[in-house]
Amino acid sequence: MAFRIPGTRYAIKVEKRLFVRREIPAIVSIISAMAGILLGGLLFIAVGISPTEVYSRIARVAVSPTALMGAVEIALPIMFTSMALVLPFRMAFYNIGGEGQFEVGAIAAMIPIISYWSGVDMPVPLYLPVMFLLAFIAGGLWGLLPAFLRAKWKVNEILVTLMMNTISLQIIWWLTTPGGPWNEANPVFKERYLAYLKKLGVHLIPGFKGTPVVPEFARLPRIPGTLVNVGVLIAVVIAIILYFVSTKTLLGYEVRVVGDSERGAMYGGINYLKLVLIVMFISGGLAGLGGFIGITAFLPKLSPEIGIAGYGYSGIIVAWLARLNPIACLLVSFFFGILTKSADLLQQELKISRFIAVGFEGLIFILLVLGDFFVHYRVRIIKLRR
Amino acid sequence: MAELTMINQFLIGALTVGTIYLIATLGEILAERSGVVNLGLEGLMEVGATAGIIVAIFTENPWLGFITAFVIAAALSAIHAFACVTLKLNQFASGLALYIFGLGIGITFRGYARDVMLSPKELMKIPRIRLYPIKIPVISNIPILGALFSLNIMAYVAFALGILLWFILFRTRIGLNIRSVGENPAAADAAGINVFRVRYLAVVIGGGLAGVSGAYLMLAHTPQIMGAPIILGRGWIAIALVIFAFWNPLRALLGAYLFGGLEVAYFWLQGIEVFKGVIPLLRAVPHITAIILLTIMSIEALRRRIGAPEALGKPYSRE
Repeated sequence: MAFRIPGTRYAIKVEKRLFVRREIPAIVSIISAMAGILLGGLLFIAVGISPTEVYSRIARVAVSPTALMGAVEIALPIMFTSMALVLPFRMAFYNIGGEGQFEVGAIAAMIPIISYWSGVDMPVPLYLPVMFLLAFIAGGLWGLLPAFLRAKWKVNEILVTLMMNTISLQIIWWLTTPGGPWNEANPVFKERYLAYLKKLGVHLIPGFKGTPVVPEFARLPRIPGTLVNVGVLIAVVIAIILYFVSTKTLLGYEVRVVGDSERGAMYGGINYLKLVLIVMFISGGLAGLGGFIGITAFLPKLSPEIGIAGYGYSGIIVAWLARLNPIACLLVSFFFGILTKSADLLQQELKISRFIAVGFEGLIFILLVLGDFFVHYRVRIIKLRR
Repeated sequence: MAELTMINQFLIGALTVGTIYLIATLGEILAERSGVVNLGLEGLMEVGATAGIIVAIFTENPWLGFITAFVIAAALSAIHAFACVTLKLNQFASGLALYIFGLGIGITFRGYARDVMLSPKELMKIPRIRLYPIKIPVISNIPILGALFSLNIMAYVAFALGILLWFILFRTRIGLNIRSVGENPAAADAAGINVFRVRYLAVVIGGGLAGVSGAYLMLAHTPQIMGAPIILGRGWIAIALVIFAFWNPLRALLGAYLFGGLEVAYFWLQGIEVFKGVIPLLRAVPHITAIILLTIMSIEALRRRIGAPEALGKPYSRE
């Protein structure tokens, strides 16, 4: 198709790409993100903030070590919630439940801590590995239900995973609300927890939502000699494993075949039910690990805040921007961490809603989706002969 | 007599709240009948809520609020239509993007309106511009049935809209065109129907209705301006209701009022001492119900071989 540009001897020619070179999706992602940042300035103008102030803030976050650390903290859980989507999205199973799987992972990881404060001990070196496993398994199990319903009866997975997000958030709310079973003011935590707080010189103020904090021995440390949390190393290792699984194994191959054509895969003898259950267990598990990271690396406790931050939803955009490449997920998460950190700082200083960051992310997402046009089609300006 | 009043109150509540779901569900049915899924509902409703209340306050006229909400949500949906009808891109991704964007800007501007744009004096206007139930004399006093005659105007309008949409879809030429575009766009195209125009209109009008639904929530149900989410998953339930209704507006009436009733029920249960400790779990009840209903409906659809419009989610290109 070609459209003549009126009044000139040039025309815009649109043609379908027969072969998409590998770098094109990445280039489109980067341009979409840049365009999103520029257009996002309009959002800030609309609420009376000068965009130059916004951009200079982002630049300052990007060069200040302490702010960068804050950005990494925000990025860490998103690294997991985005990598979680690599396999299911590749097979066109739209798991929008990263948020819920993340929350359930955080709840499960909290169990040993809750028992510790209620007086049930475990050898100290066991805490982190046990919490890690619990988070993975709980998240994975939370992911199995939508997978099973979809494979068995074609129940829409987008809706089921979304509904389950609300359910898990309400469970956290119930556990941590004042009077709830895991609330820090619950009398079962009294002796040990109060003694701990006393040592820190902190008073327990009842009436807040939240569990007791995770004690130091069960927190993920920083990599010795750096400011970076060990969680980043875990994320890198998982990204490499995931990259290997998705490109070099039978599982990865089957995922790609199903993604190309579900029906074709059935004729090819792929057991869809089994495949989707495995993929969603891994996916939910990875998102659950995000919850483990959340409570052990920086939040050090469970409260509804963990859900309100929306790490699961950011993961969707990041995974899409990263073109479902796990290594790219890490980098894009970091970029999102910088953006969100800047928005947080702006919000504290200028008293605008935290949700402006959500609008900003949504704008990038919209432009990214629209930008996909240029992945599928080649647009050129050609000179007409006469 | 006290029980009768309670039942009456419950029905009024269920119908009033159910109307939120109804308007949004009808819009989504229209879009999906033409073959386009719009997952942006939740975000469009947040935007509609914000636009509706701000304009209603400034103009002291709730109807201008509804119209503005419709126009803005329709304009945002046009982006979605452009992405999936013209550019033939991924409908799920585009809808999700619209959801996240709408959620963000809807809440941001609501908070901004409360903190900056509106003076306390203007905020005091809210009780004057909101919609109140209109009791039709005499018949509204009939036990139980009287509830049907004690609603706000929009609740009646939405009910009529449900009937109208059913009539249009299943009894008129326009409806036949819309449905054929959603079932088999190539055949519809061959029959001389402009597939792209039908889909654009269905998505834009359907999305606009989501905006109206958000404005209705604000103007008739909970007229509070705050910088926090207010739709709280109702948009997603509305999308689930489309499946529950098998894409039929008459069944959508049933589903919407059912969920309205559920919401009122758990709101009432919160007041009972026994349930004090588990209020958050009660809030999850509609979502658990939605999963169960979705599953039942999907099994039923497989058994009876009915289901979504054949071309739902698939872009059409003339090739």
